[in-house]
Amino acid sequence: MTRPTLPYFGLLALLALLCVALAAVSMMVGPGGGPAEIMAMIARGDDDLAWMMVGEVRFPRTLLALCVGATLGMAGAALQGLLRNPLADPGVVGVSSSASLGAVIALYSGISMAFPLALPLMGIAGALASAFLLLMLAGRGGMLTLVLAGVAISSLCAALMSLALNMSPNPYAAAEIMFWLMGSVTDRSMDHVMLAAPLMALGAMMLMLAARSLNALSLGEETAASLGVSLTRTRALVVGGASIGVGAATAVCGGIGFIGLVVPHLLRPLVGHTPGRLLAASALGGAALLMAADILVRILPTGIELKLGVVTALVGAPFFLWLIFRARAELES
Amino acid sequence: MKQSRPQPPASGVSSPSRHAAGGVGPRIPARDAARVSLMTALFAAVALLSLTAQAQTKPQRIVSMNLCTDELLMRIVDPSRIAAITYLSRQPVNAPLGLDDISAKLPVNHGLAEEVIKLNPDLILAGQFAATTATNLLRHLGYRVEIFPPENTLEDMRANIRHLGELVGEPARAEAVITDFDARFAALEAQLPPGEKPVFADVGVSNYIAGSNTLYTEIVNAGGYRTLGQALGFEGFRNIPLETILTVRPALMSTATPWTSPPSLSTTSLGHPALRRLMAATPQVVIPERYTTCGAPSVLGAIEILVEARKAGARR
Repeated sequence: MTRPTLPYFGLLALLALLCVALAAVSMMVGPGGGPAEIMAMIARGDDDLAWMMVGEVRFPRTLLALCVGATLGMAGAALQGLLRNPLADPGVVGVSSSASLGAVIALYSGISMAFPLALPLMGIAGALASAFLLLMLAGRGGMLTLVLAGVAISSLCAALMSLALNMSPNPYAAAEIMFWLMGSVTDRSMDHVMLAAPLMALGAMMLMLAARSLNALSLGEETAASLGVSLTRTRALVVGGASIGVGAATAVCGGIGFIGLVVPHLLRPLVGHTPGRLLAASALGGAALLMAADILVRILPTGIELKLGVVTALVGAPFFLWLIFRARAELES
Repeated sequence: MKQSRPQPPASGVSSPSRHAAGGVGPRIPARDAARVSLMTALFAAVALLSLTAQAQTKPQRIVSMNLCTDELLMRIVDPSRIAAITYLSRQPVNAPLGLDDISAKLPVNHGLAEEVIKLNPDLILAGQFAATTATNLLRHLGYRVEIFPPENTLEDMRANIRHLGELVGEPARAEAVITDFDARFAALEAQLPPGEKPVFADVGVSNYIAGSNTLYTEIVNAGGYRTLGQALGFEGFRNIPLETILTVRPALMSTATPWTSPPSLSTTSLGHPALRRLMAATPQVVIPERYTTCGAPSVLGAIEILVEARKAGARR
């Protein structure tokens, strides 16, 4: 383990500060206007409208970007630590798309109308299914198997989602595939926050419980076992925690890719390559990155607002390719 | 192909157009006939059919493949001459104003070529953008397909009514429909209270809002209101972020959608807490979607609802 360039708690404080700053910006930008327009609305007596706009549209959106970004960043760091594989990201390995599929079935079948909690729960069920499959494959193949399995799971889930959406008698359903594939926090409400945030918190707690075991695991499975780390317990905590968090996040915001891939890689050198410490740092980093992406989609003059996954993919996909090239170079040298 | 042609061309009109289509004589040997390209045959068939159709003034088995031509057709021709309308006009949400008795008795089609061929129509009415693969195929098979552009203004509606009247050989009935519409329209306009038009926010699925230069806005203006899109200052239809909707205080609202169940993201987004609160603070109307979908006399239903709301607003 190399010495970090920055004290750990200093890094966390810095990232937290960045999150606070981005959240403040997020509350001040949007199609409804900046602080000046909002002050003008209050001045002309439309303070109730101004409150609805900031409190009930922008606030839940900011909160969701924060929680979902944190969940994705932390889940990526934990999965990479457990599988000791730099490409393990909820989006790349298919956990996000299978969570989307679960949520799609819950929403469009009408189950979630009668029982709202079915939406995150079925998202979690979808995430768990692909996470278990992943765990079975990861032991045998290595990096290539993992990525190929991810491709297969993602395309199958995308196809089944299209099928489910096309079969819905609701004429608007078919057009909503973009939301589930690319993700968005636009015009979400506090209802969505209340539905998903507790489950995302539960997932994060489970991952944090695995932090110390992940540190030991970085020395190899046998060494970890000799240090008294239960591999079964660690796996259950990481797979369960990541699935619960990502499943709940995806059920309300759609599948947002690459956050869990990019953030841990950027922060790993800063925490001295310690998997346990990477968890909290990646959570804060993921929250900051997703809030920044969500601010970007609102200020870019694209006419129709971009989906969040478009922005994260623009950053993440070249990064992903670079990782593959580097991994290949290491194999060849 | 020959069997599927609706009407074998009469020999009297066939010979000039055969000459026009490449000089193929009426008594050519079979092996020569095989060389005649498919395209030539098709062109000839279309030319022949349009000639026969013009010779025979009043089509008797008319099929409408478009929701908007359904209504115009039912208002202008006798139901006995209508072979089918679209299944859409039978749905309660799409029922045209005051035509339930007629539409309930007519056969329906789903915009598929096969079912239209089975009806053996002598005139097919279609919209410009829907079911284009089916209408292209039907035209290639030699059927007479007439395309109606969507109505973007009430003047377009009058033009489409007149055009349909010509096609079906009922110009007088078409004029009567227009005269009746204009009289009822003027009667509603006369009831409008004076003063500036307040804002009517009709928030559609996915926050779909009408701006200026749309039929919808013309209807709303006739009902004594401005649309939210006019207040925000854009043309055409747009999906507006919820935040932007909240920057204008409306005098009247509507968010009616027939598609709350089964749910979709777009339709459930109309239940956003901010929108619910705005709705709770604003008077509402329900305008059946059908009254604003087509430029057809059913728009009077929407105008009447708005005029009533405006009168109620003026009394407050």
